[in-house]
Amino acid sequence: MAPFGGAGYNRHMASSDGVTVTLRLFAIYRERVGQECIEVTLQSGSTVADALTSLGELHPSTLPLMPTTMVAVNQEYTERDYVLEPNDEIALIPPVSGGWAEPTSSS
Amino acid sequence: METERILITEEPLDAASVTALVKSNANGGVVTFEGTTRDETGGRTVVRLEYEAYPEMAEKTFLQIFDEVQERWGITDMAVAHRIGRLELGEASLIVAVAAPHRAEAFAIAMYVVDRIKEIVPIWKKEFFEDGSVWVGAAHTQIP
Repeated sequence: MAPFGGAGYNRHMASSDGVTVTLRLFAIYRERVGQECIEVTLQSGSTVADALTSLGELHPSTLPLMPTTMVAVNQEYTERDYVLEPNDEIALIPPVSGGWAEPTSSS
Repeated sequence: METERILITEEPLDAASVTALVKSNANGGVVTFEGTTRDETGGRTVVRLEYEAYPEMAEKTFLQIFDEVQERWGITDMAVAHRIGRLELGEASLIVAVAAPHRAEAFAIAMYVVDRIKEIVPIWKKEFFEDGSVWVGAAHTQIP
């Protein structure tokens, strides 16, 4: 799966009305962007991948994070070719925490 | 309700109260796992930690894990508590309690639940060192 892009044909098919979605940003994304969420308006028919492309254009410091990021829409893990509906909540999920199951030399 | 067995809180965790949620006379074994913050990772000294959650989705994914356990083992007596916010060294970040009729499945389910939490529950850990900090899981992206 390409990290982002791949839905360019939508740009030709899109009608004049767009789709506005919220991007929730956590952990390293929140720190890089400096906000907990941002709203973006995309052309109708846009996908999660298009929303990530848009975020990358607005905040290029997020681009290197995207290959290892999982995406959820409305709190469900979702593929990047998901076609967005108005008011969808996209969450960018960098690798989640761990560490407590690993052997430790200090305890 | 299952959601009463899920706690995401900035307050210190109490293993005994989480364990009490799953105890019953039908069960012969209770396993309680307590994950604590440790003072070293990859040879660097950790001075404190912060955890951040996507709370709505974290609760959903905890419930999904409970459903997976019920489907695989037929067991429903589970509870989890996850601390978020700032933690000092040695404090508990995660409590998982599982009760089952027999000890083997109680151990197996507790292991499964902890492993699945690491895979799918959107909670992130930031480790602070004397000379910097890193989001765990994000370091391998190798960006300045």
